[in-house]
Formats: sequence, C-alpha cells, structure tokens
Amino acid sequence: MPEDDAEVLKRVLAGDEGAFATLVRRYEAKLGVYVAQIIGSAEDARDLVQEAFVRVWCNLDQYNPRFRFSTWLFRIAHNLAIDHLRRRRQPLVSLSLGEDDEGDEIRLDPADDRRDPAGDLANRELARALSREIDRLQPSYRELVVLRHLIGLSYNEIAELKNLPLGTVKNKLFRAHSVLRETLEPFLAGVGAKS
Amino acid sequence: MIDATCRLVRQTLESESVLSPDASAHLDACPACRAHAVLLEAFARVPSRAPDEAAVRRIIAALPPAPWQRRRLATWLPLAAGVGLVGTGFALLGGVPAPGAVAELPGVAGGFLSWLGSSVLDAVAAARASSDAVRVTLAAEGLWLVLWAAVTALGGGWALRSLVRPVTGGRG
Repeated sequence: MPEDDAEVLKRVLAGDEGAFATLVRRYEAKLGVYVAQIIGSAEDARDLVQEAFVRVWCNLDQYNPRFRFSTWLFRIAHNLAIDHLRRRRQPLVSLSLGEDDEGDEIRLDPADDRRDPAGDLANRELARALSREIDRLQPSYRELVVLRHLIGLSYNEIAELKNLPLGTVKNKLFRAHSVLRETLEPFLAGVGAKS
Repeated sequence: MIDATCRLVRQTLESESVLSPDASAHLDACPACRAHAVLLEAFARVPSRAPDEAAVRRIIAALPPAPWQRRRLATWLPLAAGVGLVGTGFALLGGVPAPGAVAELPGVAGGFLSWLGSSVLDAVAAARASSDAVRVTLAAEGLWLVLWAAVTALGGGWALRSLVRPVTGGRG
C-alpha cells in the first residue's frame, strides 16, 4: 500500500529530502492533465507543473495539515494556470492529456484490453465522442468532470479543492453526466447493447 | 423530466453503491438508465497517464536548496548564539565560576537596583519640592544620575522587549 502523503511530508520535513520525489512522481501526471485542461497547452503545462512543485517545496513548512496535500498542490497549480491565462489573455481549453514519448498528443481513450473485438469500434467511437462532448461542456461542469474522471480525485477532494459543498459537487457532476448521456445517447446505446 | 426511480438508480450508480434487486431490474428495463451506467463505465476505463520519470527528474533538479530549512535555522540561531556566548564566557573564565561568586550575584544585583531606585526617587522628590532643591540636586551632580537612570531604563526596556518579543521567521 502506498505511503500516505502526510507520512511522506513528515519524512521530507524531518530531513529526508529525497522523499519529495515520491510526491512528484505521484502527482506530476495528474497535475499535468489538470493544468493542460485549464490552459489548453500541454507544453506550457509542463513548465507550470514544475513551477507548482517548486512553490510547494519552498513553502513546505507552511503547509496546513488540516487540508489534504493534493488540495494544496492542485490549488497552487490552479492559481498558476489562471495567472498564465491572464498573462496570455487566452481562453481555454483542450482536453489534451499531454504528449507521449514520440511527441504525439494523448487524447481521452477509454480503451480496455478486456473488451471483445466486436465492441472495439463502438468503444473507440464512444471515446472520441466522449472527448468531444466533454470539451463542449460548460466550463464549471467540464472542470469537475476532468477532476473526477481524468485525474481521479474523490468527491471530497474536489469539494475541498473547489471550495464547494460536497452536495453541490455531486449535483453538478450528476447534471454533467446527464448532459453527456443525452448527447452521447446513440454511442452509449451501441456500447450498452454489446455489453 | 426523469421519474423518481430513474433518479434513484442513477444516483446509486454515481455513488458506486451496490444496486438493489429492484434497481437492477429497472436498469435492465430502462434504456436511459442503462446509457447512464455505460457512460460511467466508459469514464472508469479512462487510462491514467503514467508518471514521466524524465519530468520527475527535471522537477527535482529544479528545486532550490530548501528555504524552510534556512528559516528553521534562523529561528534557532539566537539560542545557538546565546549558548555560544555562555560557552565563550566559560572558556574565558576557565570553567564554571566559583560557587561563592555565583551566590553573590542576586544580592549584588538587588542592592544595586535598590540604590538606583532610591536615588531616582530622591531626585524626583527634590524636583517636586522646590526649584532650589532642583538646583541643589543638579549642583550635586544629580543631573548625571537622572541621565544615567534614563539610559539604563531605555537599555533595560530594549533588552526586556528583545526577550519577550516572539521570534518571527519567514512569511506568515
């Protein structure tokens, strides 16, 4: 079982500076997806993610353990992303997940090795349509969908990060899912019929 | 508008709870709820991006020397300096002062303070009595005493403030 963030932080503050790499390894990719979703550029997101970790490192002794480390980290990254947008005066957004080793953009692809070959095409079509429709969601819904499903934060973590009541987060996600379900009805019916 | 059963079934799906037999039956019969379930499954199959070791190394290399360690050092520095001074004093004295000298310190300090206090009170009383008395006091070099007392009070106040004031390091 992976070590808790709070335990890793204790080790870092006790002088084991190498333990910070554990936290970087744990959150670098998720933070990259989050920042790229806000600013619409995987390349700029890399720099902002680095800057976020540097800021966290420089202020580790001021971290309030009443909050989750992930909340603190994502909030710092969010602020950096917003500052970056203000500087560039560019609106959002792409659902890019970054780039792979060959420099190709990684997109949302709910591929699953366990699926049967007959469902492959329907799954791919659904993945493409899902990616497109998430991009079309209104920003407040889109951000929650990304945080929940692409980054994998829990409802509680999202509520803490966005400073929203837990019920509001659940309701908004429910509505976002409903919008997606309605727009993706033909694809979902195709996949559902084969499963 | 969705009916209450649809809402309940979808909320159960969202909370990742186990469906009751009734809810399962509804799911089989309701295409819209089934579509909702398929959508949530599609999300669950989204692959998470693996950590990029090159990026991790780049970030670790970009970290400056831990500033919070410097701030901690700054917090403990006054204490370390005090201990150093005491050590230096011991070294100069050639060890811990003799018990007799240490035992005399409170008495000497108390006597000095009471002499200082009574001198200041005498000077104040004389000043309040008459201008002649002030002149006499001044003539008896009372002015130097008052000045000396004022400087001592200022110095003592500053020392007390330094001791009482909390140490603040870095940003709040």
